[in-house]
Amino acid sequence: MRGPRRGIRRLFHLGLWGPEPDDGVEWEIEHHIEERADELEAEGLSRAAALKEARRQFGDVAAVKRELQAADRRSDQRRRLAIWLETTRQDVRYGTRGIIRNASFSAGLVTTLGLGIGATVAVFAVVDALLLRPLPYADPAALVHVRVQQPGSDFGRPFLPPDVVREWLERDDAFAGMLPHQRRSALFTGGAEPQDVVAHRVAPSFEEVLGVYPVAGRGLVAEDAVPGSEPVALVSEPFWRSVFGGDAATLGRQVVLDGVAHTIVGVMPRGFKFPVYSHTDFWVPLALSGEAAGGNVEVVARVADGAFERAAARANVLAAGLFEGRPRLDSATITLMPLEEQRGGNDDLRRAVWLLFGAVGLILLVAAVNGSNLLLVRSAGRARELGVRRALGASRGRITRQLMTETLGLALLSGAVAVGIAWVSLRGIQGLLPDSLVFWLPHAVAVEKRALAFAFAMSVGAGLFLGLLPALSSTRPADAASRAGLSPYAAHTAARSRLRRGMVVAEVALSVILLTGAGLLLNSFIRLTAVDIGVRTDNLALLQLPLTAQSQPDPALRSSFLPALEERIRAVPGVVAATATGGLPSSVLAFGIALQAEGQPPAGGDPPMLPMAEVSPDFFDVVGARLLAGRPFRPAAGEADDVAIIDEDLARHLWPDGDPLGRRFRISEGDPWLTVVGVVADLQLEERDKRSGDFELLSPFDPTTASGYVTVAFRAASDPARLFPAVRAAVHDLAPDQPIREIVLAEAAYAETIQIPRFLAVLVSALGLFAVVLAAVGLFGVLAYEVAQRNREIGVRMAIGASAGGVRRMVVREGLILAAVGAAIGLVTALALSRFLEGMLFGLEPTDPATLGAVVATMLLTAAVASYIPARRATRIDPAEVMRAE
Amino acid sequence: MGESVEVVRGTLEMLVLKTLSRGEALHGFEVLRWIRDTTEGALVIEEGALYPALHRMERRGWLKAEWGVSEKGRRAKYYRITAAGRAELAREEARWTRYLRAWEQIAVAVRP
Repeated sequence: MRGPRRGIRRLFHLGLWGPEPDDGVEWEIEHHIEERADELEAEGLSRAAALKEARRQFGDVAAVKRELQAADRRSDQRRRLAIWLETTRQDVRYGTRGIIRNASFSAGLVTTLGLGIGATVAVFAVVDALLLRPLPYADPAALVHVRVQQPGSDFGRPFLPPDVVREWLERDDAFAGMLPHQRRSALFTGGAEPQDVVAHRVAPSFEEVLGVYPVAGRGLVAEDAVPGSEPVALVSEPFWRSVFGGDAATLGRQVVLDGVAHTIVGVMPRGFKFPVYSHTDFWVPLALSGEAAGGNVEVVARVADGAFERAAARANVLAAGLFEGRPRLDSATITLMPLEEQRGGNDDLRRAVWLLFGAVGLILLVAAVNGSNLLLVRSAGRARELGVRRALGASRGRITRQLMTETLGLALLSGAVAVGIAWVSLRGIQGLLPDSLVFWLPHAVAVEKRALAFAFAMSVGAGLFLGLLPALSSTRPADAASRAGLSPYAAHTAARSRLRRGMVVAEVALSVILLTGAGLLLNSFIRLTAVDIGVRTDNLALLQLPLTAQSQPDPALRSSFLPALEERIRAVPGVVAATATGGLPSSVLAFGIALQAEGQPPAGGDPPMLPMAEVSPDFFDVVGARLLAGRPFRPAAGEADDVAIIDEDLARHLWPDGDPLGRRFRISEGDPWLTVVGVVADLQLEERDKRSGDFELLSPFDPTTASGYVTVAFRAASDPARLFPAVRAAVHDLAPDQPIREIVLAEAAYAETIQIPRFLAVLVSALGLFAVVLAAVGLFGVLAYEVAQRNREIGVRMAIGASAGGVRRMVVREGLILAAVGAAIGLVTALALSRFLEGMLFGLEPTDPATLGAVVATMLLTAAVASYIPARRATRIDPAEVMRAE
Repeated sequence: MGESVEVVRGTLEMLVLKTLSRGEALHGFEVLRWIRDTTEGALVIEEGALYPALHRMERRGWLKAEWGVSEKGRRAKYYRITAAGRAELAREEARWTRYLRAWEQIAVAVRP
């Protein structure tokens, strides 16, 4: 304790007289006793007896010492604190003065660091909301999804028959809680207009298993799920707010869902998201028996004490009994999928998000390097001032502390700027977040507590890192004397200059790495958007409707609804054409397990996915798909149901050399054979990057029997968005209870498939651009400083006949050499790292020479510009002036 | 040496300040010995009370302490009165004098 404390006291110039307080008390009291003993000895006692008597007379020596020591320690601490506060106040004042006096330097540093930290904080907020922050359920790590896995399959499906779940609930001893649930949409009537809402059916164990309770009213209880009980519903906070105006009187009110009046008994908390779904409007009790039971059920379960393996084993024993004798379940097994692993979409997306975090980390590094460079240049500039202060007796520790305070102040200022930048960037990022990434996003992507704490930690960290380096080097004792003015060139040591140049090289290298990533992603994105999807999306809009028995109760009217709707929409002024389809963009993906052309064996290899759509005869005209051969479908009444129109890729796949028209194929064994009546130009109904299959399959659409989600595609003469209200009105005129799921521009609907590439391309490009700017600023700073330092040398060169052009070339060459070295290092590193981008790129390799060439060219060009300004400044040096200054 | 009396509560600090007001820096034992000898043993200050009082007054800024070496060659903590200490002493003396005067008046009034 004594050693280090002494050191600290020395460093901060604290209480330097006398011993430590504890020792002082000891010495003082013992001194008293000896003095008293002297007196007693003089009265004739022996020394030993005298000491003993003195001690006796004193009383409880130890207690007095303890009391004194305690009191002294307290006051010592107070005093130390006071001194510390005073010193800090001085440092802050000194630092503030320094920051203000060097306003341009301060602004440069704050901008650099603020941008670096701001970008990091923004991306942190995304990563945190998507992947890091614990899910907003009680003990979220214990929650799992129960999945049924078929033998030989790689992934389980989350669906179980309701009666299996009922029996399981009765004998469950595998989990600490089971929550069966079923996602259903329902028709909500009684509001301003009929709405297609999500009424999630949940078991009453809902709140206990998730540990989330209503903010108003009560939760669901077991009696609510008993058949025949009064229907009740919990409402989501957003729905409650938007439809019921957030009125507390909503509790007890009735809402009509699928024609049945439900009493609202509670409101779930704001932001609550049921795992793993994007949004829910109502929660209603799930019945597992009786008429109401139907359809497969999903199960979320809570595992006790983190014993996942035991729970899985026990669940499998139970399941084996329950599954026995059931088709398709007989040999299936149960797997438990932790909810935490289902965050942030799929693996690719998670990887993309981490990639982004890595990229922003590089930015922060570049910003930090730039910052420390600025500080190095600055500290060399103020070497004289510090030297004088050293000479006047300021200790090295004291100066270090003052410089640290100044840098820390600048860093905190940068932190504040960073929070503003993060806030602004997040507004931009929110609009770019791919739907699949935020599908189940239980947290808001925003600058909140954790992001603020992160920003604070980052700025303090940056401040300490940046402050320590120049502070230590400018106070190095050996340098101090020379700084004091003995040699004006002493600061410009070779080591210093090497360090600065090294930093610029590092910055350029980091920028090249980021630029390479940005270039590749951008290039890939551009290629993706250039893909011809086979549909002309300009002025095309899609109206999506759920057709159900509830929205169209009368079967006779239902069969005439779609044809009538088509007519109505065509009649809307401004609409050019309309066609009803069974799902656009493709809503069905067929799994071509044994895709085969008649008379040929099924093709080997991975079974392809076939995006499917049902289309009307006028589909090709309305959406602008090109029929290459054959004919469009005939009106449903006159069309066989085993005909298909396939796209040219599928045609080539099935019959590599031959006319497909009139020939037959099937998707899987047991499926009917389909006769090809037409071939359409390459369509991309699902994903542009063709990852999920490039084989589109169209079949005839019968508007009189259609059910489920249907889409009416309509083309307008100009901007279809202006016609949306009229189209809405047409629907409601025709069928007052018919909800509209969505009405969107086809452009936007098809853009969903490129959201992730766009998200990555835009963000990484922004970061790359930022890195280049930072590197350019860094390069500029170093060269400008060197030119200033080499004033004299350049002056002499010019005096003895060097031309202005020659001097310019010299400086620019130096900048370009630094940039070239950095670019080479960056390129090699980028190539080594490029495998991280594999799978995210479409249509180009991570080693794409054009992209790499463009990156290097951009970097070198930027470097040349950044070098030219100091170069021109160098030529303005007046040799005579320099000589006179000597 | 006559019979000794206890130090009246609240007057210890005044006594110490008065002792030190002579100007000389004294260590704790010297303060105690001076008061004892000057009052011919009538006032005996308890050690257990003296040192806390000295430290308290030092914290309040009435005394300034310094480490030194005594005539006997021992390291000792010497106390010296400060300007603030003198001011405090003046206040206390005035208060104490008023108190004594009041006591005198009462004593005279009740004289048997």
